[in-house]
Amino acid sequence: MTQRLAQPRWVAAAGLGLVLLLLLQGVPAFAHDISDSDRAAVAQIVGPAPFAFLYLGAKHMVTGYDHILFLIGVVFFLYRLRDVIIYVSMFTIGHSATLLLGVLLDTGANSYIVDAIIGFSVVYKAFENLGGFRKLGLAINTKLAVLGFGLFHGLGLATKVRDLGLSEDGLLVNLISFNIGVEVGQVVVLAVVVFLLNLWRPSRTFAPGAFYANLALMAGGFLLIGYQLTGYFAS
Amino acid sequence: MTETAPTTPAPPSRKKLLIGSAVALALAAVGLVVFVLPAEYGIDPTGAGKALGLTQLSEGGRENIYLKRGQARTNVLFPLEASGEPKRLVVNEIFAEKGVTLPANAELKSDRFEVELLPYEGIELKYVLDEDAPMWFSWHADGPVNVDMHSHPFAGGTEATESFVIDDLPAQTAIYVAPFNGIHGWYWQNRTMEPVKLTLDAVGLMTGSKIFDPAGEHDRPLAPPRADEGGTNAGGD
Repeated sequence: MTQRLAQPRWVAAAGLGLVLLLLLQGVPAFAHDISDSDRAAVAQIVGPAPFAFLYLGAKHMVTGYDHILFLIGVVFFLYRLRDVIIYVSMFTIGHSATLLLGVLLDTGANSYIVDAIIGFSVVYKAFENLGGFRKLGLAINTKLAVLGFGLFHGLGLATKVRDLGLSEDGLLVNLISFNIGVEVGQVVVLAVVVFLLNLWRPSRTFAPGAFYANLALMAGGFLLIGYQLTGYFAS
Repeated sequence: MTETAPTTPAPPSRKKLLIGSAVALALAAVGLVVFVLPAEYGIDPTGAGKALGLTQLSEGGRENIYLKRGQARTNVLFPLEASGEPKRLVVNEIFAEKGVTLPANAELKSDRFEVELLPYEGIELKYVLDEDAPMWFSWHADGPVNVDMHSHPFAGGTEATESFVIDDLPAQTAIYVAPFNGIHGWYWQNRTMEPVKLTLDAVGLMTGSKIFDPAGEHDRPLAPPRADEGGTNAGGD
């Protein structure tokens, strides 16, 4: 496979550039809430609007750097499609459960705290990728951990949906549409991430690069934690 | 997909892992303190945010003495529930309800101001009010606009400006009682990429109004809404 790629290093560099570009696209929406224009539009929607909410769900995922960082961490060392599907399913079950229940039961979780935990999930995943917990003598069921953090990502999604001020009319349809949209967005993100990682994997730069890439993920997670906790204490 | 397992790199040594994690934490801390906190919350312990011009991105970063001054006042702004279309509104009763007294034989005037703000366009409307003159107002826009409701006395000029509300709002309804002789009103800015239509109705003891736009300051005559527009009715009926 390596031979077919004439210059794997160049491809890897181009791939990383693409990832950066994708991440940068999320920057204008740094607070990563639903944008004001979308909020204004949703405020006028009464009744079921499945495609509008499907789009919003997908958009939230594709522009959601916190979810994307976690997904990169989850699939970083997964090269079998089967493993990718298993882990991503755990994540999907987790976040769908709390997204649906969180909105329907109208539970009030503080979004700063939830988003800080989402940041922590990124740190956790990067540390685990580096074999950190094994080094510390901790045996963690990685699939359960992804499921557990998925629950928090879902709570985060639920608070964003609640912020939209959904009308009761058509709530279930719109909520499920949003959830499906989230999964569509997740598939789009994963397709890109897995593709780029697989391009990079056969290269000689992957082994040393993986260490630094996970440290970068970890730094991003720490940054998110600090950002959200400060927001919590400042508000 | 090929199933030839690419070698997963050997995990780093304990030392390398701990140093790496510490470096990641330190990098995040620096990025947070130097860039994110100043830009997002206006919290700038190192002063780097100010030097880099990041604090201006955050509303909280601008220490606003005008807002502090205005909000220190009581009995100036009495927020009301938006009454939807202010048709056949009995302003006298609202004043009485809020304990705002009108001078004897005061003549209430009414005014309607309508404007469309293009993306990132801003405009300022001010009413001339004497000290203690009350005014009922209600404005609404078809999207949230950034608003600064403020006034300044004729004596003292813009230096003595006081802000009462600085926020992103789609509408505002309240009674305002002028704390001094001067001009009193709003600066609105549309911070979306869509045009926003804004309508203001006011009833009270205004004696005139002024518009401030990029072309400068203009006197504007009060424009009572025509009866067929179903506007606010001054006085009782």
